[in-house]
Amino acid sequence: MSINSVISKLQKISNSNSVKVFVPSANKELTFTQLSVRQQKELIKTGLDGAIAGVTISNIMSQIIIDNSVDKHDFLSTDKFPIILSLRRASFGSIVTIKDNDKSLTFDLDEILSKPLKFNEKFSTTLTFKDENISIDLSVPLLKDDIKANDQQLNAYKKNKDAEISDTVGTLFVFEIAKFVTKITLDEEEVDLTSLSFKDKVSVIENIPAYLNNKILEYIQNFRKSEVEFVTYNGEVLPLDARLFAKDNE
Amino acid sequence: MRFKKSCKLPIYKKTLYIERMCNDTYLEFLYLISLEDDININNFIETYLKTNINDNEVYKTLTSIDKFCIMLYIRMISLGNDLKISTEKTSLNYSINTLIDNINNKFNNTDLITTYNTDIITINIGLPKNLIINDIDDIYKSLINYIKIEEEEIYPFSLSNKEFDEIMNLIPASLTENILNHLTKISKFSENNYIISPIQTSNFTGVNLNFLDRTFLYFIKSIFSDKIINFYELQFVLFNKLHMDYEWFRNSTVQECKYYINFYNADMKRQEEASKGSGGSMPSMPRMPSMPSIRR
Repeated sequence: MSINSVISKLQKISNSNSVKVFVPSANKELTFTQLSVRQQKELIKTGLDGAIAGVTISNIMSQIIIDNSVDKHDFLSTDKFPIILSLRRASFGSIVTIKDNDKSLTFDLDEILSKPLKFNEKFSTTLTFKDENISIDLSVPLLKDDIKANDQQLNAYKKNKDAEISDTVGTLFVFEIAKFVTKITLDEEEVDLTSLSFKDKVSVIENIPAYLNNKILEYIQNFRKSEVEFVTYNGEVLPLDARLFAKDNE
Repeated sequence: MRFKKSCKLPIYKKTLYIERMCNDTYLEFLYLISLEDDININNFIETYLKTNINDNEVYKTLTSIDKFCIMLYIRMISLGNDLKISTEKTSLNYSINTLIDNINNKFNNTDLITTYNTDIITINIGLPKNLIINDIDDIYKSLINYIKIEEEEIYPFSLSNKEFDEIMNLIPASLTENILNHLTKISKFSENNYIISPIQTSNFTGVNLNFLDRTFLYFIKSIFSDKIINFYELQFVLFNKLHMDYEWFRNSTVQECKYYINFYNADMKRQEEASKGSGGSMPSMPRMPSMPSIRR
């Protein structure tokens, strides 16, 4: 037995064991290899991550999409749920049963995936504030940038575990805004935030007047609302956590 | 040639021979138990068993229940067959030999080793090999006996963690539902089977045959545990009263030492009774150090 020979055989099997998934930002089907045992294990492990589980599983799902994509493409955050649910469906079937407190919830991923996406592929807009002569361009982040932003969030959380809750929430609030802001134009001068490091981006965002942040928040909330609507089935929201990838809870 | 005891094991069906645990090794083990460092205790047991069995290929195939039973055998032949469990209400006495037989009987007709496959990949899953399971990574590597792809077999226990991870990154997740179902089967088996059954009248909840936590390790610690001072007291009696030398002592077992002390005590008693008849006085008999027992 040669481990390299086995790995080579498994790679051939994995490449031939692919699935076609409709990607909203590409407006067509792209090819992905299916979820692996290791990836499923990493997803299930996030169930033990406590307060940061939401961020860690988001990053793992995003990384799976990038790693398993056979075709080269810059995925957006809007692509995450359709792709990851398609991969889940390909490995474990369309029906998901989750125990939530005392009730047993059942979801049909075929039904969810057949829903039209209510946001356009980039979900981008420009907020203009004439009186201040400032405009702010907003767009859904690339998946790879979303991962970097989340990593910064996790680092900040780990460093400030003992900080006041209000400080932590404040930091996360700024990080969330920084994900979506792509350009700021002030008195004809443009600042392209996509070319800055995430740390510098946050520094710029922290200097935006608070009343402008409210408008940005409105945009982000609309986007998050669209995401929730997409994964709602029969009035219940599909939990996007470790339970989605574990054995069906009965 | 050293004495070897034949072992009948629940999963490894061929006869295995093991040596008893001599005093120098037992003292090392006692110190580790007293430090309550489970990881080091586990490492000690794994290394000790590997050396004792002296066959790496056999050792790699042993499950945790096989290793647990081997440690029961070693306890039996090195420290004695009797096991005392103290509860709030009473004291319960068990024979380790009987415990081993009972455990073996539970595995006569189980389906805890099974094979799942797709068209191309076959996975054989059994019982965990590790005495302690720390996390999900341990479970997968420990449960999978072999993976077969186009007539080529690989054995996870012979792979490094990095190699195993690389393989797991290429196996389709659709097969893991079977692994998770198997885990559920093992959990149900653990719930319904005991190392020592509960006794309600004595307020004793029993000890479950649990593969997925540290039950085996804790039980092993309990049946080998003793106060280190008792061990040194044993040495004192042997060296000062029976005039045994250290070389003999380190190559003997606790059980053998106690036999000699018993013989000595019996002999002293005979001499004392004989001297009572003739009106003389005898030196006092050495006190027997206590045996390890379990307090619940």
